[in-house]
Amino acid sequence: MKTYIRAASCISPQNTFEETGLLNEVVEYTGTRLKAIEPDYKAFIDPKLIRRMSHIIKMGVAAAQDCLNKSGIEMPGAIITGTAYGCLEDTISFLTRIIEMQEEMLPPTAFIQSTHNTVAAQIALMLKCHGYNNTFVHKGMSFENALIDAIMLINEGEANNILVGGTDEMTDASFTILTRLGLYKRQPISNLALFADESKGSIGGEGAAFFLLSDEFSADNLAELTGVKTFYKPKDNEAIEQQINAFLSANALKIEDIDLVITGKNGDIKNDAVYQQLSNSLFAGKILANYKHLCGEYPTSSSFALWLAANCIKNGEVPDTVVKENVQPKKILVYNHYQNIYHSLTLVTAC
Amino acid sequence: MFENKNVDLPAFLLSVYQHFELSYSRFYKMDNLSKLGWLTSEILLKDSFEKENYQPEDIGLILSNANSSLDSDQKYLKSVDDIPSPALFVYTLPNIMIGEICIRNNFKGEDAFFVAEHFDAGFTAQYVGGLLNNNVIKACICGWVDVLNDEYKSALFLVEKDEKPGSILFNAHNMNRAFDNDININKKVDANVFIAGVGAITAIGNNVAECLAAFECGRAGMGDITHMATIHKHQVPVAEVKMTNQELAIRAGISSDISRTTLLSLIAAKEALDDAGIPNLASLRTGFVSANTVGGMDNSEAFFVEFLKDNNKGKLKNVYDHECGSVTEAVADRLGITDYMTTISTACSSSANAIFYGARLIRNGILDVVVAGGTDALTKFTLNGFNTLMILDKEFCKPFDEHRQGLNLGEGAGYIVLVSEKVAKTLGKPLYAKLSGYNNSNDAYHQTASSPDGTGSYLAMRRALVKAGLTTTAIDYINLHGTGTPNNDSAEGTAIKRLFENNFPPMSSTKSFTGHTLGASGGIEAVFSVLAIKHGIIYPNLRFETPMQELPFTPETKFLKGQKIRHVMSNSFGFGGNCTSLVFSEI
Repeated sequence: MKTYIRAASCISPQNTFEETGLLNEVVEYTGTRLKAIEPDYKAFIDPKLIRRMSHIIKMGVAAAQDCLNKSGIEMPGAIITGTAYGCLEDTISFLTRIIEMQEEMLPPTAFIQSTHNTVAAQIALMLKCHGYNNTFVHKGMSFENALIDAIMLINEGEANNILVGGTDEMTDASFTILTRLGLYKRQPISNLALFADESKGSIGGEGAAFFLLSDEFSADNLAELTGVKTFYKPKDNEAIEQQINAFLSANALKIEDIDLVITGKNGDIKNDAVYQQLSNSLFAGKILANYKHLCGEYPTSSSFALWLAANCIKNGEVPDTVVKENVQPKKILVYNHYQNIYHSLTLVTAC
Repeated sequence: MFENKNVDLPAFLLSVYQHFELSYSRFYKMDNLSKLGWLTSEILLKDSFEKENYQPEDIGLILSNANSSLDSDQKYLKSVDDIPSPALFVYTLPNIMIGEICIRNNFKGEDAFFVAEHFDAGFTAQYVGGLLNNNVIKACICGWVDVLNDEYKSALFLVEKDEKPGSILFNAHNMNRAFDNDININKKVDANVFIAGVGAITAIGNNVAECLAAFECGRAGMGDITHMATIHKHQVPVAEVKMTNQELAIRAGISSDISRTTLLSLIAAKEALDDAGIPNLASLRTGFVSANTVGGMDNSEAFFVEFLKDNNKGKLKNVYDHECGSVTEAVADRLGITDYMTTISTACSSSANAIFYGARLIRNGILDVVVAGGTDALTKFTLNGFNTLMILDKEFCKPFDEHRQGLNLGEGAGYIVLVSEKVAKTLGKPLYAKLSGYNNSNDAYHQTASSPDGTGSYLAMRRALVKAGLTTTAIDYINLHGTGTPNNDSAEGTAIKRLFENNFPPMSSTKSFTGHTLGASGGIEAVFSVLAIKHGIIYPNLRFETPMQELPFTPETKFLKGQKIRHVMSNSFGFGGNCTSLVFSEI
């Protein structure tokens, strides 16, 4: 049973939402935090609701609605989201009030909207969609798990059209804490020079990318989502290569068949050592592309990579802001790892 | 299944007619195409269709084939040279077959006949789906009937808007599988997933045996808050696990500075895995699917007190495991599970969703064994959250009572070990039950409140029964979501009233013992549900006094032993309209 990507929509630190060609111009940031470029939400969400919605809810709901609009599907059979941190803004807001107000006179709104499934729930509410609704919250694997769930649902014949999204937001507090935890660089840097600078830490990012996955072939589909696989704490690079080869052969492919590999390089010297080694072994001679200079590092950033891969296949070209080589990809492998703990492989092919 | 090989088509059609003991004089007048289509429709409709539920105008027929009526056309043409046969002539239109089926059944809805090179499931799904969605018809017989000389094939589908036991989703994929005689079409649906082990820690017991003992003597777990410093101490009762973090850590064999949520999870998950006693676990593909709602929030609360004073302060160790996924990861590492792990968070239905996601991983052939369930510790965050919603009862909660005032928060963890049929055969001990049905449906009404008629709950329960291939009369016990809030119990009760009509099985809310353990509740109550089957138990619903005015049934108030419990339904409903029902069945 094949799974197709009927449509995709992405809100990110780049101009990916109101598309003016696929990443023709890249937005440059100097610092260590990339903020999502927010669209005019009024076109997608009831203005009365916008006021109460946090950043992540607005991003998620708007990307979901835009994705449905593009797909021509009004009512999906299921809605599945992945988010590592969930609704951070509301969570931190409620937590702060508990402490500052010493548990008295608290308004409930932030608590109500702090649950991790709020984005998926708000989409269901907006669409009056009574179908399957699930949210995965497993760190750097959250979005991939949502994809696996969707592929299983299609395989089971439980749903034909499934809305799947990856969302995470960065707040001032989470940026400060994650910087203290050493995730981001200590010095400001241009995102366009992310891979030139060999130092510790990456740059923080955020975004929401939604996909309408369908079991139905259509000439309008962006691409086929051929396979998704995750693996945990591989013991060395050899183990990673084994996993990649096994994944490709399970899909009747060899590495030679792959036209483009999109990797999760994030500018952190230790993080990128994995990709560096692979570029000299399994990926030697392959055209390699990066994406985290565009959207920053966050646990569900692989949803940005899937958005990019699906659009590259549909357009039959890869923007030169992503790779310099001229390539018309038919088969793209996305390989990302999060802190060398959670690794994922996503195979996207032309229909 | 009827077989009659090596005969020609007329003989075959007659043998089918006789085998199914049909009696219809028009049969002998029909041409082969009509006979084939008509016979198929008779077999299709004989047990599975309740015609009386529809008006004649609501039932349509949309058929297709490649050769139109060419078979009869040729026979008629041959007869023209001799004496033209009017009997053959009338069958030189393919839609005559539709007429035969309509006459027999008094169907008067939309009909059409399409001629196409091959069976086009996509087109059929779209066309028939459109008729049903636009309420042109409410049921449809559709498919393919083709005859040319010695080649023939007939595949008809009965499509109805309402799900029935054993029905599958109407889509191109499923139609193609049926058309290609894929005998596995229901295999995934039918592949059994068994429960081989259980583990729980709650306010009424630090393991499964202690919980069962508490049920038997009617001992609830609520009391004053002792583990948290909060202004709500002595104001609202909670159902705490009766061990400090230090005691839990000793029992779990890990450091006590880890989140209480992780400590609870590890103890219950380990109990479940030990209980299952799966030989050669390391050689099997094993997963851990765990749910929680606020991750390591208890430690994050401590961090934030310092962090808010100065953003450079606060022990990072206390916030490092804030994410929900961190709790799962820490426990999986200690259980030695690496093949697959994930965390689900859909508020109070989280761990029910984790359980059936785990079962689906097995049914899809991805894993052999899954430890599935959930965990949540009491935190100031959730206590204050529910307090702002004004749904905490200041007394011990009274689920499904007319005078219920709200819920009591609880904490704990509950896991079941799910195994494939293959693994089940290798176990040296009896299995508890199987997970036969499950469904998640969304209420799509409000972020926190349930719709008055319990639409989401109704859909989840009904679809879980459909998945299990059961009718409501098969359910011997319902473990209610039953939080004790006016809104939940009214919506859940209304949905049960509608679904079960006048045939209400015994039901109770075990939250009257454990409190509402949020992301852990579906896991804990799954443990209680399979124990109900294994030990023939029905749990009492404590403190029930006054029946709810709008409901024609009341919960069970006594601990009952020695019951015959074949199938148990377990309900878990959460914020965001997230409604899940699980059905466990005896083996």
